[in-house]
Amino acid sequence: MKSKPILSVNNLSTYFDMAEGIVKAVQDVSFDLHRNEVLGIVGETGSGKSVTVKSIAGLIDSPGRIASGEIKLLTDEFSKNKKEEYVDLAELQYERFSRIRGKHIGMIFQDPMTSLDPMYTIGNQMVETIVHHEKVSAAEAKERSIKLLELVGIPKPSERIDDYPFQLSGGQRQRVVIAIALSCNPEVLISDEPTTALDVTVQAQILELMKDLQEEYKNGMIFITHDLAVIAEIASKVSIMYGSYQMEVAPVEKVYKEARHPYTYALLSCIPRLDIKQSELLPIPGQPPVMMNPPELCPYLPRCRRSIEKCKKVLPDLIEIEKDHFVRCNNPVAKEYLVKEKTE
Amino acid sequence: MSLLEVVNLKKYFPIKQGFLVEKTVGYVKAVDDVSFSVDKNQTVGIVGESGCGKTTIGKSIVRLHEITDGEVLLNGEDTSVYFFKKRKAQKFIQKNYIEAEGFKEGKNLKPSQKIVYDAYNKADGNLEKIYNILFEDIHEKRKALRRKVQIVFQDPMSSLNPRMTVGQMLIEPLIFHEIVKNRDEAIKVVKGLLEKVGLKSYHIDRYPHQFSGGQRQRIAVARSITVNPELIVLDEPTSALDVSVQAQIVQLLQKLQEDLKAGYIFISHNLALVRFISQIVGVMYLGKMVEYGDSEEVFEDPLHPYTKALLAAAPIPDPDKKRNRKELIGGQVPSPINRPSGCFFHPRCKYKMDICSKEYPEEYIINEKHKVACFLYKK
Ligand SMILES: Nc1ncnc2c1ncn2[C@@H]1O[C@H](COP(=O)(O)OP(=O)(O)OP(=O)(O)O)[C@@H](O)[C@H]1O
Ligand SMILES: Nc1ncnc2c1ncn2[C@@H]1O[C@H](COP(=O)(O)OP(=O)(O)OP(=O)(O)O)[C@@H](O)[C@H]1O
Ligand code: SF4
Ligand SMILES: [Mg+2]
Ligand SMILES: [Mg+2]
Repeated sequence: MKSKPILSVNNLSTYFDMAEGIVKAVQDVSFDLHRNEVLGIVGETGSGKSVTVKSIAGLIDSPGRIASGEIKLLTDEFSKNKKEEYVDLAELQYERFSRIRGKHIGMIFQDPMTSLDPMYTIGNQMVETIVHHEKVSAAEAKERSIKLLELVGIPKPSERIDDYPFQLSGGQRQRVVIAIALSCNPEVLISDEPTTALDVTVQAQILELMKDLQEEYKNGMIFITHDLAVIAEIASKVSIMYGSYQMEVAPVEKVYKEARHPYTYALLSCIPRLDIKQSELLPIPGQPPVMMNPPELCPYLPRCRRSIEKCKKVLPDLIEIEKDHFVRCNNPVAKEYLVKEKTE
Repeated sequence: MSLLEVVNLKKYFPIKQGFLVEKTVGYVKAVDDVSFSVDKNQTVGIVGESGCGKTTIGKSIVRLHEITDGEVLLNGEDTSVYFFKKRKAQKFIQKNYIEAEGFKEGKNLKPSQKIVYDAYNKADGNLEKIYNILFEDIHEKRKALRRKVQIVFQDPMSSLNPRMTVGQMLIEPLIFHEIVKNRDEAIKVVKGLLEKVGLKSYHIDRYPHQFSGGQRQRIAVARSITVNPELIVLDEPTSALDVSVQAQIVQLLQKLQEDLKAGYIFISHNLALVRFISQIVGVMYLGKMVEYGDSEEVFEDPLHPYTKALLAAAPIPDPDKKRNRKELIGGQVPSPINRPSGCFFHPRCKYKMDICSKEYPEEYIINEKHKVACFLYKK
């Protein structure tokens, strides 16, 4: 039997009230995250990836708001008897969030400088995070920080701990951010495009590091990227987003071998691949949708080759079409079709 | 004869220091002795990590940079001197031509040498006169070159003038290069071009901000082909675009190449994309081209340890294919101001030998097209 999910998001919608109208950035997003699971969220620019995780981390400010849904985190932080219980983060008061963020939910962003303060040494910043959340002395916190820096592959950590962020390279800064995110061993680790700004050889180092650490710490991880290749490396489960909705959610192998949503299917045919010689790429015609006052229909409709009459009238639900495989589509790609194509 | 031949190209940026009086204290050797060629209807990919010199190569070829040294031959004609200041051009002619072996005897001259040789004879060896003969029509020459060689940049928003309509942007070069007789004809041509790049003819009166990123890149591509160029430098033309739109632009570029038969230099850090689009690929590291060859050969069987590391590092969109951890390298690209001794890659290299920290390797020839700058391939 599977354990209880550490994080359970149900029907989350997040909107931004703008002068020109409502930006429906995230609509009806649901997923479970277990300990030791890596959920990859993939999607193109503006599809709602960052807003999804910012909603989870309590980082949505006005004019944004969580319009509906629940974000249940399994934690003992507020319980009286030390027993784990589900806390709905969508309802959590702002002040109480500081007991969640950093301690139960760690975060790593694309630009390490959004997480690091240029005015303080990395040691200061690490010690502060640890002392804020746990009853340990500064000396103990420093010792733990040095161990963490060593763990993330910073050479001579006891010397480098007194460095300022500008004294480190881009890859090293991201390593430090990872160390800080891990410092309180959070149950949930959120990474929003942590390697996008890095060179490919450094990206590989950071991905390998994150994989190793995740295996060791066994926390649940949410990993955002627009790169389907990076997701294949790291995720155990994938959520494909398009125009604020999840189009398909499935275990990683299914996404790459048995994609059932027309968008996922088209996406996989239009990316160039390094490992094989391709004769052509099949572009998806048209443009991604605009999220201002969108119609209540499938966002992929204008570009979809498989659309049917029903698509012009009804927004499909996210449905579990087979175990652990969810698709939001009125006319999903048939399984027989996939098998046939592969054997040809 | 190749469409474009780049021979020992160097582009050094001076590092200046000082408050009132600036002094050059060193150089960033952004492109250091790079040679390659591009044929008509051929795509040469250039890959490498940030700062290795890809854009600098592109800008040097289209003369957005004055090159430091080397030759850039277009259809056999040495065009590098056209953009030099007079004194530098004279010195260049002296050094690269007159003092070259066999020049004065006029033996086995290449086309570009022949032109200079004729001027040399006419002017009885007087440098000033040679210069005048060669550059009588310098403005025409520059203009012709500006037409023949085009560049498309990564960020279409910053390369398109926000205050000009698409029409204004595209009509101007047509008239400047006298490709059309009058405005009416220009408008007709531009409408045709817009259709050709997948836009609508009524887009002609719109401004760049009224388009999506992918559409803007289509406009930039349209602008580059208005004047029937022979060579187009594409500097990360799809890096700012979503993958679904990237494939559209790539398909467009391939279709246009069939029509124009132009040569492409496709610059990108996306290895998979370069494998897909180019027939030849060059791999750069710290200003040097470390491997150069047939794309299929290089991607299937990379020889230089850096190429191996680069390919091993790139993730593959297939969960069953795990990367080859053995080839992964540590560290990062060193500062271009302070390059390591010997082979610049040796501090990160898994195969390094004693000699590697002492000398820079020459380019060893693997076959007609394939060259590798690594001591492992010394015969
Ligand atoms: N603070 C904000 N105010 C108004 N709209 C916003 C705000 N933040 C995000 N949005 C909008 O919400 C939508 C989703 O944005 P989000 O940042 O989640 O995209 P994303 O998938 O992370 O894209 P990217 O790959 O570019 O990071 C977009 O249309 C965006 O313009
Ligand atoms: N105008 C300039 N003045 C001084 N240095 C420069 C200039 N342009 C580029 N450089 C330096 O030359 C080197 C090569 O830069 P270049 O832009 O060609 O790299 P690139 O391979 O295109 O990198 P990227 O992938 O980041 O675009 C870098 O070290 C850069 O800092
Ligand atoms: S719901 Fe309709 S329009 Fe949307 S992806 Fe499925 S078939 Fe295409
Ligand atoms: Mg984002
Ligand atoms: Mg560049």
